[in-house]
Amino acid sequence: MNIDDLIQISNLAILVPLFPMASFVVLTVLGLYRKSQIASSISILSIFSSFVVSLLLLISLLSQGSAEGNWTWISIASFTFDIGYTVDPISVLMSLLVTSVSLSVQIYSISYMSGDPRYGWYYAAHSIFASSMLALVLTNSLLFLYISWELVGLSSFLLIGFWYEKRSAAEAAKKAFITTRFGDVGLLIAIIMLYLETGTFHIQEIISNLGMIDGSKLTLIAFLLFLGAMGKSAQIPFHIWLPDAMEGPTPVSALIHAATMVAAGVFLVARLFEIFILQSSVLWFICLIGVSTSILAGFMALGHIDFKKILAYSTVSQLGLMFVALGAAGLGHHETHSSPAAGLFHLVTHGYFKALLFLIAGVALHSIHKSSATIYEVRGLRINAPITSIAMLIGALCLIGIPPFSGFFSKEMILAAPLEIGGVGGTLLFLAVLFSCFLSAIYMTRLVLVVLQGDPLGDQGQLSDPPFPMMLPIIILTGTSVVSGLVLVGPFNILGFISDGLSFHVDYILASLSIVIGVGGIIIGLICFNKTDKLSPDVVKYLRPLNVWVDSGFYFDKVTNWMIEKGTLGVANLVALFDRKIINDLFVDGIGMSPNFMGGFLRFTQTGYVAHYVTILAVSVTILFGIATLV
Amino acid sequence: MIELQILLVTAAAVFCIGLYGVMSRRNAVLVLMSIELMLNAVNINLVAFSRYVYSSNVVGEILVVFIITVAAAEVGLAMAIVLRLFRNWRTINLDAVSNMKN
Amino acid sequence: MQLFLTSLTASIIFFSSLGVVLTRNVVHAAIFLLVALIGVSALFLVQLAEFLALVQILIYAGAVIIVLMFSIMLTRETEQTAVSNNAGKLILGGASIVVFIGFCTAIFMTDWAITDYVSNETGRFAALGKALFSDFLVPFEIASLVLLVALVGAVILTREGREGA
Repeated sequence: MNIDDLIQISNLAILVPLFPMASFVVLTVLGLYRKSQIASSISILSIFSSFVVSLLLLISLLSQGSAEGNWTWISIASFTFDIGYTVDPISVLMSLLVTSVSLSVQIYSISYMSGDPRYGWYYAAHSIFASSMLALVLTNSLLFLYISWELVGLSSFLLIGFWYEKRSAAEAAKKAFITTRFGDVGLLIAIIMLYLETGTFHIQEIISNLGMIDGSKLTLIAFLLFLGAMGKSAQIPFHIWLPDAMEGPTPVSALIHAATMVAAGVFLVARLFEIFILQSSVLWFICLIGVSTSILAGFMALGHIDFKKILAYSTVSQLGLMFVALGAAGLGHHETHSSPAAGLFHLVTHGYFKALLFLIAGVALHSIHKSSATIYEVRGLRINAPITSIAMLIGALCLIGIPPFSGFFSKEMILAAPLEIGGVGGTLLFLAVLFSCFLSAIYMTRLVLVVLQGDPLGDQGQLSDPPFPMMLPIIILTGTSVVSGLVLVGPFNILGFISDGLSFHVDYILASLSIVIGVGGIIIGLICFNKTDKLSPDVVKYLRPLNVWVDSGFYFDKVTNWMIEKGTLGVANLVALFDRKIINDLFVDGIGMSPNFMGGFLRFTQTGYVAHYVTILAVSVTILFGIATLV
Repeated sequence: MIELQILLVTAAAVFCIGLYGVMSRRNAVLVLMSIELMLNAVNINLVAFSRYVYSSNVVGEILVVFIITVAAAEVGLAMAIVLRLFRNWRTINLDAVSNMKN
Repeated sequence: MQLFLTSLTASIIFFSSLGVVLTRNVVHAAIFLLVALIGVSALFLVQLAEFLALVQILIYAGAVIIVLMFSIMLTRETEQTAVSNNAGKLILGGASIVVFIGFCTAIFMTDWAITDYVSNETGRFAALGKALFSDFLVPFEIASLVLLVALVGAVILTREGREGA
């Protein structure tokens, strides 16, 4: 490192995760989290600074191209672990997404969380979350990525279980952490295997050395990496934590479960995409999981009545679509080369409009002073909260994929991906994705109809447009949802940005198909849900069994609980038994008792009679001499 | 040869008799006497060896002198102990003085 | 002649020692012991260890027996009960016989290297004296210390007054 390196703008990348981390340290160590006003200001200031630096990094990237920085972190004998940042398209994109959504959410929280006794700590947790997430996207070392990954899990635990006085919230936080843990194991093993094979944690070096690793090992590594992604991004069967995670404050859901943490899994696959390219079996697995998650979650969104849970399942469904895009991109035959661009594009657009929808949900909940509610309780939003209602409509249209909103463009790319594969599998995948989009249109229409329409019941008359701090982010996010699509395919070509040479071209047939599906879903939704609370009785009777399945979350929770009870607890009980009986009773107590025992036994040799002593003496001496002579 | 063996056998016999006496007699003084018998048996042994096997040097006899010396000292002390015992217990029956039992 | 004398003294010793351990009466046992000790002294004489014979009579038959007699006298119990456990005595006797047999096997199995008796003009007395004060000086001095300690110990033990002083 010399002066030239230091004044390189890309070195500012270290500041991006560092600002929020500093905020966290200041808030906790200096105890400033007790002072509410200062706490929020410090945190917001730090994330704003990170946002500004991210913009600078973007400029640097566009003008000077990718850059990297590396420092030696730990050096023990022959082991050296480096730590460093990388400024390249994927990381800068993610950094901008995370900082902007974080900023919006933190501003929103000023009034949403005002009056909460642990206001300051809320912002501290936000800071450490932002810091770890940013570190995760900007690092170039797999080791540090894993560390940040774990920190992100920890921060989400803190945030989900923020109201830990509520039993359900604490349970949900635990569930989130433990479920993602299962995936994390896969990630760790994959990272270690990569290190053993290539001798480095540096991502670029690993990718250039991929040829050294033999095929079957590489498949295993890819599979394990995806396992880690499945955990964080709530794919089946690890999706069970996401709906429960709605126990956290709504802004937290907006940040973590729409835009950032769940995006980490998608980011991981995109970042290490080169590992996945040749592993067709793993790629098919990814597509399969993605599409089944998508459809299953779509049904569950359709069946639930809790506002935030519907949005949560919707997120799971959209994440599934992102993974399908990634998998299909790997399998397909692109003109230039396979690229994770489609999945990442949808990640960005989804991040914005889903965060928007969650914040709107927060507005509704805040007005009726509840932390969770069914969609029937917040009916009639359009009457008293016009701006919010418009925003919600826009967000929904984005998700359904209606032009010119952003969702249209990203969805179109996702639909295009399976078609590139061709063959029976590709076609089936395409149809399944189409069906998933259809489902999302239906449930979003239902959501919008119920919430916006209807007469506000009794005490719901309080629904109103929110105060300024909550309003501003909503407006901002609405704006980004609207324009990000157009911007990112037009003047600022995201595809070319991520992978050189690609450009967005409109396949009119596909576009119209996607529009048709979207509109078709809307129409069906209107038929079923307009002006009525539920479906007509006949249809209800028909769908009753499906409803049971949906309500129980397709029995995933039941199965998991059963497995844990029988499996883990069973083993734990066995081990406890072993510990109690054998180690404690036999060894510890036994060792204590044995001198006692021996003493009691030997006591009887002290007869008190001299003659006895002499006899024994004589006999022993004789025996000893006998032995001595014989030997 | 035969003489040596006679002597050695005698010594062995006296030793064993002394041993029996130590083990089986109740009276403390009798036990002391048996100990003396054992010591004397050792002396006989030493003299026999000194005469027949190692006749060129006098080590055996010197050793006998020392043994007799120590035996005398020991008897004196032992008597003192016995007297002590008698004073405290009014008896020198070894079976009765089993206070250290268990 | 030598053989006859050796056997004679040996048998005297043997039988009187038997008497020591087998008799009920303590005083009789002491008398038997006296006979045994005198017998040992005679044996020493036959084996041409004159000095030892002298020392034996002087110390053993003289002092040790007297001491034992005194202790018998001073510890006379009012009753002469000697509770003897016959079964135990039989076992112990058997054990002693076993030990004796062990010794005998050792004696008869070993090939003793017999050397002739070497006698010098000055006799063994002088040789003994010389050895005692040259090669064995240190043990000699220590022996005197032992006697001193025994003396002091005996006095202390039998002092009237404090227990265990």
